[in-house]
Order: sequence, then structure tokens, then C-alpha cells
Amino acid sequence: MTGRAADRDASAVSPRARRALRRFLTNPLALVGTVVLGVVTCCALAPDVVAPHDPEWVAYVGTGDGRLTLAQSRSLPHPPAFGDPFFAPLGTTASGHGVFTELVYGARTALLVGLAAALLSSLVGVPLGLCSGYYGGWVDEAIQRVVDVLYGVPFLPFVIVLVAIRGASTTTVVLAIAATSWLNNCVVVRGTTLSLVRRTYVDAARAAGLPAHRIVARHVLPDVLPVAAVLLVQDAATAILAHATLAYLGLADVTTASWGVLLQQVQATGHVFDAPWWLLPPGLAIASLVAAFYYVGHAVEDVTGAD
Amino acid sequence: MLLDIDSLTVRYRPSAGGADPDPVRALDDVSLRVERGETYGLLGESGSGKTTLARALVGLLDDAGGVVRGRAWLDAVPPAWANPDGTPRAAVVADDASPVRADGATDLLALPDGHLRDLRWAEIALVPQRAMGALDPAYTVGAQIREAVRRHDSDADAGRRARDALDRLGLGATRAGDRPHELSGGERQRAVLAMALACDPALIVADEPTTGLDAVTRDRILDDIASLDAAVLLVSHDLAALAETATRLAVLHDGRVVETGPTEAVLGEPTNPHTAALRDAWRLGGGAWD
Amino acid sequence: MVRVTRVGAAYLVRRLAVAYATLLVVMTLLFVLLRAMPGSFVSAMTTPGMTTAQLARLEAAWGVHDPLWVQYGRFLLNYQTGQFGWSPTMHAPVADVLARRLPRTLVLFGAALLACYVVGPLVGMVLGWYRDARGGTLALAVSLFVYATPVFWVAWLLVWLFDHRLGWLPSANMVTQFPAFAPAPLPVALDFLRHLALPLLSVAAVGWVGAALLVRPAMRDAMRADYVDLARAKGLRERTVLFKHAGRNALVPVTTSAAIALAFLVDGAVVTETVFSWPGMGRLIVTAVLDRDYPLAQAAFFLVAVVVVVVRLCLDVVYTYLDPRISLGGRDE
Repeated sequence: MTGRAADRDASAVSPRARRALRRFLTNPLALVGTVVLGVVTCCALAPDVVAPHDPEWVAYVGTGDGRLTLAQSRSLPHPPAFGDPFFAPLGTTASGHGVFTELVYGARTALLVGLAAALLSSLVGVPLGLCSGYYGGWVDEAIQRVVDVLYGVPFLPFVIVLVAIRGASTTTVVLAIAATSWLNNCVVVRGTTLSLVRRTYVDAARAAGLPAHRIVARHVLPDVLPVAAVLLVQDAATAILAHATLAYLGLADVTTASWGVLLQQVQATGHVFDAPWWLLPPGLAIASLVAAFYYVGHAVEDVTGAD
Repeated sequence: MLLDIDSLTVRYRPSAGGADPDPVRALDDVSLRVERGETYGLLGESGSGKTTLARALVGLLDDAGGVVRGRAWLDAVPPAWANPDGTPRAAVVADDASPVRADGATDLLALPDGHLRDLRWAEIALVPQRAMGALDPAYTVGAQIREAVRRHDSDADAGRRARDALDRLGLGATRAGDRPHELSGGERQRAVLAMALACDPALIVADEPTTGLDAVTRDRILDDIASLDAAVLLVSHDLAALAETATRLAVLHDGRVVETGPTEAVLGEPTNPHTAALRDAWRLGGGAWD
Repeated sequence: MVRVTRVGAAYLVRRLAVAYATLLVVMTLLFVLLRAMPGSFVSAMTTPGMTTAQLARLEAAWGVHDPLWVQYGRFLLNYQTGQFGWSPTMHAPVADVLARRLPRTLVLFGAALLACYVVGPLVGMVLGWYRDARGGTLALAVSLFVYATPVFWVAWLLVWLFDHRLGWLPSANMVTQFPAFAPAPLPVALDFLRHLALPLLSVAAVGWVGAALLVRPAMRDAMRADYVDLARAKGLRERTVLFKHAGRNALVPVTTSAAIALAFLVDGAVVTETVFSWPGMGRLIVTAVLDRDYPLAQAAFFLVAVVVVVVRLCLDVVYTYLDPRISLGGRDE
């Protein structure tokens, strides 16, 4: 492609979209959020590059090794410990794993849970919301009654019961989270669609006999998509938090590395008050990633005017 | 002399990233004088700067309202700077930096925010545009009037004064307990006027008070305005309304006063082509000044 | 002038119908989940030492050999009449266990709700009012970060600070186990409040943001409203304009979207009860599930759903009082 063609391509992007992109990039919240998401994504994609050790690595503690005398082994620091004798940058956990390494390997689970649950709830909630808002009448009534009823189901207790019955696999957790978070998507998308459908030009398009899918694609989707995007990142944030909470309650898959499980182990081994190097980073990691999603969501809201 | 606006200029700051970097001149060297008790008409089409003028007087320009220059003398002293008899304190007048003149006039444009708040509604009441939505839906009409009275005067007779004010505008004191959504458009407009009267201001600035009302209601509101004791600066694009009520008239066009004088003279012998065009359009519609 | 009753009877009936339907769905959900479990439904209620005769009695009592729809009907009937069965781990009727636990959760939950809904909207008003100011973005960023922290983690930090380091507040249980003080009403109440402080603080420390984020955008709309303009023109002080006029009107969406905040509070209560060994419903659900005491877990879950439904019903009614323009089921709808 020649330079001229590239220029033309760039100018083909509508000025509205370009302005939105510029406003997004100059938004401080968006900047912070994007950077954090980028870092976490790097960790998730290539943990072996970022982490100083592989996940099986355990700090040498001198136990279980007959060549050391008892006195020698006593003189060695015992995990959990903070400091660099084991070359673990953030210290070690009770089982001798590096906290930093565990953090890096936990990024993948967090991102996976967040995105999978968010995508799933969007896939269910957005189409239903569109139908509900566009067709109105009994379709709307039926969908909204279902939503109304399901809103009354308490989320965490429901997930706890579900996970207890189905087993604590990550898939179950994702399904359980998505099963409740699509409700909000449906309600908000319905509201947006409803306000769009009431506009004169949509009325005119309907009167002209345009098929529904064309009207939705031309007049409704462009305004619904930003709203759906905001909901998507918010759902991802909620899902990550919910997963961490379930892990704390002992209802997450302990065999995969995750920040929630890392925190749960702090408590399970009784080190909540004496191992801050172990307690603080996973919590901060969860908060940072969740906040990053919130920030991006707010920035998108700001840029597109979707509230 | 109640209000003496002396070469008021307002420039709006251009919006960030806007195409036009030059500040927009909303008002350019505007001067006009309002006497006590008179109804003064300010005629201008939308965009002529008449709302900017009304809001600049009480310091309620939007954040984008950038540079304000000139003077607007109001014959009143902020209570914090006044003697019990209403004259300004000697120390305040002696201070060169203070915006109060020895004769008891205060420059509204130079007044610090807190003192301006004390004068708002008590001496100069702005009835903003779209008064239909100007009543807070959460409170009864009476509560909103009492709130204004309590802010500037005593607590004791706030209820009575609120009812009196509503009475004077023919709303009936019983409406004090109604919430705004229970009133019709005309009733709301009158409720806002009643609210303006409740504190006995010397000047009421009414911004487009008749817009969006039906003809009968509009006439009632105009009658009400004409019968007020307070001076009224009536800001409107409605030439007929001003011709009926105003004793004097200023015509605002593109931020400048293009014509000023007694209503009769301005409409009878317009010197400015713009005014003439407006007048002719009005006459074509069957209007006549008598 | 005819006064319309704020909450119309028709509206109330409709809301009640939705509430009842919700509970039916919850019960059906439980029933379906129950059948989906491996093994007999009764096996969850057995202990290894039971004889075959005992097992048979149990199976007969629950009617596992009846057709499914009969079982479903009996299940619905039992749940609606408070017959929740027997808890194998607590060795007591489930209903008794729940009756003891529910008030404790309600105290914690109610206090947290109150705290969040007093602090949150106020902060939200201020955040919305100054959203374009220099510090506005930073304040929003901090609030969102707080909202992003896991409640149990915040609870640990608070316990570490107030109990471990400072020793000011107890961090476990609802009352002192072997009190040194006399069992007079005042010391007992004080002791209870001291135990309530940390769990409450944990939920509220994160929970207020939910309400604040609901008020913030509503505040922007209110700020542009003409009545705020008039309030300023009346010479009211900025604080009065902010809270009394703009803020009061920005409160309306808080109740309409309270379902979200409510869900957060329920979740928060479950987690904090676990952290602080607060003997309420939330902890009960978790321990019952972990101990495989299904009758207890199901009934507890059901009861939490009842609480949520009732609170939502109440919020709906509050909403009609906050927004005088709406008289639900009345003439405006």
C-alpha cells in the first residue's frame, strides 16, 4: 500500500470516531486503565517471560534434605519470608513459592474469568435487551418480567450453592457469574434501544417498511454498542471480584494459580497478620485490574456520552 | 437611577479545541439605565446577547462566560456593608478597592461572590428563561418561596409572605402546598414571579417570561408584570409583549444596543434598519402601538 | 384538588406478584439443583451411622419415590409453610437454626445499608458537582479503586489495624465469649456494638461507592436543570443549592437502581460474616455448603432471597416518595 492510500484510509475514518479516539487517549483514567490492562495482558500471555521462576519453583529451605544438620536447617529463613535469600522478589509463600511468580501466573486466570464472564453476559443480555426495546409489547413484557424476577435472586448465595453442587471448576464459576450479570446488560440496553426507537427517524424507517434487522443495524446498534462496551468492561470487573470472593470462601479451583486462591492460602495457613508481603500484592493486583476495567469503562462513557 | 449599566462587554471563551480561537463577543459596549419602578424592555432575537446581559448582572454566566468588562451600578448596598438605614458604611466607601459608591450604588460586576449572593433576589431578582422548569420538583411551591424569604429576611413571617405573594399573582394562597407538577405552565410562571416578589426586590429581571405560554396566559402574565411596584427589566424577543408593557425600550442586535428610547419613539420612528424590520414584521402580524 | 394516594393499590399488587414469582423461581431453582445432584436427594441428609430402616424412614418422609411433580408440589408447600426439614450438622430443625440466625444478619445488613446510603449519596453529590474540577477525576479514580478492592481483603486490613496493631476493636464473633463484665443491658449492648463496628466498617468502606456512583451522573443532569439555576438566582448559598436542590433530585435514581447496590450488600454481608465469624445467614450458607448440609444451605439461600425481595419492595415504595412527580398506579402512570 502506498503512503497516499494509507492517508486516504486514515481520512476515511469518520471525524467523529477520530475525535472520540483522541478524547479517549487524552483521558487520564483511560490512560491508567489501558496501561494496567496492558501489563496484566503481558503477564497472562507470557508468564514465563515475566516471572523470575516457573510455577513449580520452591525456595530452598533446607528441609527434607538429609545432608543438612538440624542446626543448619534452623538457621535458614523459613517460608513465608521476605527478603532475597531465595531470589523471590516479593518474598515467598508458606509453601515456598515466590509471591511474585504466583502473581504473574495468576494474571491469566483473572483475565480469563473476567473476559469470559463479560462476553457471555453480553451475548445473552444485549440481544435480549435489543429485542425487548425494539419490539416492545408482549416480548418486552415477557423478558422484563423474567429479568425482574431474576433480579431478586441473591447473587453470591446462588453462586455458592451452584458451585457446591457443580464443583468448583473455573468454568462453573464463570457460568454462575454470567448467569446473573446479563440482567443488568439487558435492562440498560433495553432502555437505550427504547429511547432510540422512539425517535422520528426510526419511526420513518419503520413506516417505509425497512426490515427490522436493517433498522437495528443502521439506527440502533451504533448507539447501543458504546453502552454495551461500557457494560462489558464493568461485567469483567465484577466477575474478577466475584471470582476472588469465591476463592476466599474456598469455592474456587485451587489447582490453577489465581490471585484469589493466593489470598485464601494466606488465611488458610494463618499468616494474615505476619506476612504483609504475601497479603498485600494479590489484593492490590485484584484491585488494580478491576479498577483498570472501571477506568476504561468510565472513559468510554465519557467519550461516547453513554451513561 | 436604579440600574446603570455602563459599557458592559462580555466575551465568551472559545470552547477547547474549537475551530474559532477568537473569543466570542456576546455583548459589546452595552449601556442602559433603568429608573425605579419602570418597566424597561430589552428587545433582541435569540443570539443577540440579551440572556447574557440578564445573567451577567447577577453573576450567573456559565463557566464558559469568560471576560466581563464594564460596570453595572445598582442602587443598593450589600447588607454586610450597609448601615442599619441602608446607606453604605463609611469604611467601605473610603476603601478604593470596594465596589460601593458614596451615593449607595454598588457595582454588581465587581462584587465578590458572597456579597452578590446577598443582593440576588433581595434587590435584584433574575427570573430565568424557561421558568416552566425552574421550580424544584421535589418541594412545594410555598416551601420554595419561603426558602427565598428566609435566606434574605426573617424566618418569622416567611409563610405569610409566601402566601401574600401567591395571592398577589392570583394563584390563591392554597396553592402554596402544591408541588410544581400539579401546576399548569402559566401557574408555574406566576409562581416564579410570586417568588421574585416575595423578597421585595427593587429590580426584577425577567428573561423571556412569556415564551411557550398560550395567548390568554401570556396576557395575564404581562398584566401582572406591568402592575408590579418593582422595576422590571423585561428581556424578550416578543415585540408585541414589550410594546404592551414597557415604557422604554432598548434594541439589542449582535451584542450591541442599536436603538434606545421611549417605546413610542423607538417603534414609531426607528432609526435603525434592523428595528424597522422588526417593527414592520410585528405590524404585519396585526400589531399596533397605541 | 383531588389528592391521589401515592402508592396505588394496583401497583402494590403487581409488585407483590413479582415478589412472589421471584420466590417461586428461587424455590424451583433449588428443586432443580437438588435433583441435579449426584446420588439420592436424601443422601445429603444422611450420616454414615444411619441404619437402613432410618434411611427408609427418611426417604419416605421426603417421598423420594413419589412422582417428580408430587415431590415438587410438596417441596413448594413445605417451603411456603416454613417446613425446611432437619439439619444433619446442626442436629436441629432448619427453621429453628434460621430463626436464630436471621436477626443477626439483619442487624449487620441493616446497619451496612444505612451507612452506605448515608455516606454514598453525599459523596456522590459532591463528586458529581465537582466532576469537571481539577480534583474531580482524581477523586473519582480513588473511589473506583476503593470499589475495586475485595471486601474480605479490606476486612483483613481493618482487622490488622484496629485489632492486631491498636487493639481497639474485637474482630471475631458477635459478643465476647466469656465476658468479664456483668450481664447488665448496657455493657452487653456496648459489647455488641464493639463487635459490630469492624464488620460494619468493612462493608461500608467499600459499599458506599456503589451509591455514590449512582448519584454522580444524576447530579450532572440536576446541575443543568433550571431549578438549580433559579436556586442560585435566589441567592442561596452554594452548599444549599448542591445538597438541598440538585442533590435531593439526584437521589431519585439511587432507589431505582438500588437492586445493584442491594446485591452488593448481600454479597458483602456473606463475606464479612465469614471473615468476622459473625453467626448470621451468610456464614451459615458458606459453612452449610462446605459441610454438605444441603437442607440448611437451601433454606438459608431461600431466606436470603426473601429478605432481598422484601427490601426491594420497600425501596420501590420509598421511590414514590422521593419523586413526587410519580405516583405509581396513580394518574401519572
